[in-house]
Amino acid sequence: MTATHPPQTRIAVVEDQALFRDMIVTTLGKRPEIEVVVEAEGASQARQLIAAAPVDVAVLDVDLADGNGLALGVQLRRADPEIGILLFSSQDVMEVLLDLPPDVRRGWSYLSKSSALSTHSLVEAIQATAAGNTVLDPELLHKATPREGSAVGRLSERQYEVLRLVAQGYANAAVAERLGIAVRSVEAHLGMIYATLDIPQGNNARVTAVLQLIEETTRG
Amino acid sequence: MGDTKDLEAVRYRKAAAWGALVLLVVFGTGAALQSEIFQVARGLPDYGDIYDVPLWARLVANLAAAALICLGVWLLPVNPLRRAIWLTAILGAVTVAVLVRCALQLALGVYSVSLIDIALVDVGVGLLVGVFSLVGGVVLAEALKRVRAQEREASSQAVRASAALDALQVEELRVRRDVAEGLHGTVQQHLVLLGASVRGVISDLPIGAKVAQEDLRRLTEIQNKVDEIREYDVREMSQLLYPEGIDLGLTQAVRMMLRRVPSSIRVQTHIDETVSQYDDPEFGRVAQTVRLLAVRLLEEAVSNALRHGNASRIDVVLRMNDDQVLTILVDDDGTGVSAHTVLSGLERLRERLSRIGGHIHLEPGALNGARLVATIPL
Repeated sequence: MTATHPPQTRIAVVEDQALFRDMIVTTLGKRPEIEVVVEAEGASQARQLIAAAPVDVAVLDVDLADGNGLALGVQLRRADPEIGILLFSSQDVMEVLLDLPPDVRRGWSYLSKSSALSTHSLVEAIQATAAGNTVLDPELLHKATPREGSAVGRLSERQYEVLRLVAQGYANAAVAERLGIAVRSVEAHLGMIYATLDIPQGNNARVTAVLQLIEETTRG
Repeated sequence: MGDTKDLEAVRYRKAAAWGALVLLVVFGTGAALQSEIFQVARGLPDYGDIYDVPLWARLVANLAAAALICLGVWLLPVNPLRRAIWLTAILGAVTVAVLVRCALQLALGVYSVSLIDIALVDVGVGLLVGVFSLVGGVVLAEALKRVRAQEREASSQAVRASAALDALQVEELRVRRDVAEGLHGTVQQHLVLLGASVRGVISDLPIGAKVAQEDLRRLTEIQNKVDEIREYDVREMSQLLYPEGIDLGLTQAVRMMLRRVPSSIRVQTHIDETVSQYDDPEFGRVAQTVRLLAVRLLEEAVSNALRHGNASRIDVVLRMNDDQVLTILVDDDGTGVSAHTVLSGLERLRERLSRIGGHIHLEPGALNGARLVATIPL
């Protein structure tokens, strides 16, 4: 028996460019943590297939021949409130996460097609999205510059760094490890970040801060 | 179709009947009065008692005939647009009415049987008057019909023009999108390959060769230029043609436009829940042409604020009222616009907005600069 088999994350890959779709499916298919359940080239096909075979995360290209990944993601989430949505796009359209309808706001991630992502970080992003977290593209975040006069612009350099790592989906312990500081320091930084951004502490504080980071920065 | 034709026929008969009625009442009353005046002014001894007839009797006979003709024209279910049948029918109506008039005149004692020859002359005159009045009525009906046809033509032309304009806008968006995609795909790919081949040439150059130093510098310059064109110029161009986010929704297109404002400018965007709820990504309720218009509007407001007003801060608010009218407010802290400034870009937008029932104006804003207020019915 395969009792030691790790829990697999079931995913759907929706991408209209066949070559790119095959690449993702082949790459992720080799990973034991991931099971590609659905492969679709368009929105309507994806809706049908995912309705028949539920998945944990839908990996959606924003530009689809018969619609767009944003609308499809909202539909899929309304049909299955547990599904995580990971959008990816060749153009930077990270702002799509800002005005999501309140009923579907949780657990959306965004990665850029042109970023040099490792398979490992893609798998991590999928797993974090399945857990209901938000993961944003590291390369795009690296290019982000706070806007003049914005609250994000008032963060200290260290706080800004912490927020960018949080936006990449890292948990506090992982942020601490990457920065070589204590977890309690990370928590203290987060407290200051929420205070500066005027975000009430609570369940949504983390995602709200990440969204504000998107809203108040430009990226080249 | 049949209904409109029936309606047209009824309107035509009604107009002809009214026209004829007016003429016949004038003739009928006039003739009766004339006979009365003759009767009073000078008696005609030869005819003895023929003028010794009460005025009401003449009036009754004349007006009854007039009413009969008009009712006939109005109510006979004959399509006036079929000329021959219509003419026969109305001539029939006139004949019947004139004969009825003659009978009434005899019955009411306007003429006695002894004066039957005069009565017959009166029948002939009556026929002439009837036909003449009907010609008048028909002329009136024809004129009204022409006016109606012109009105219809004008309004259907307006409908056609507006439909053509809509189709044109949709087509324009499609072409813009295609060209933008071509720039993104084909042109960028070509530039990527060009850059790669220049890089290849550079790496193939013999290391340290003196002759190659100047060439190497120029080649590197070319390579950087190609990358720059690909990164910025092509992207800018395709952005101009088909702004990012247009496919996704109004809020997305607005966000992505405002993102392009340089980071040295303070930008605050408030998109009200009324707008983001209406613009739910699943339903795509806001037309693409409206999304494009909103982006153009913001581009105009931002560029006016930065170019003419030297603004350092821009606040944007989008909200929608219960009548689904979208309001876009753009405040800046610049020097404002003087009342005399004619902003040609704004004029163009005003024209485009007015075609869909929208408005745009500038007023003093909360940040001491200009405030652009635009309304668009969704």
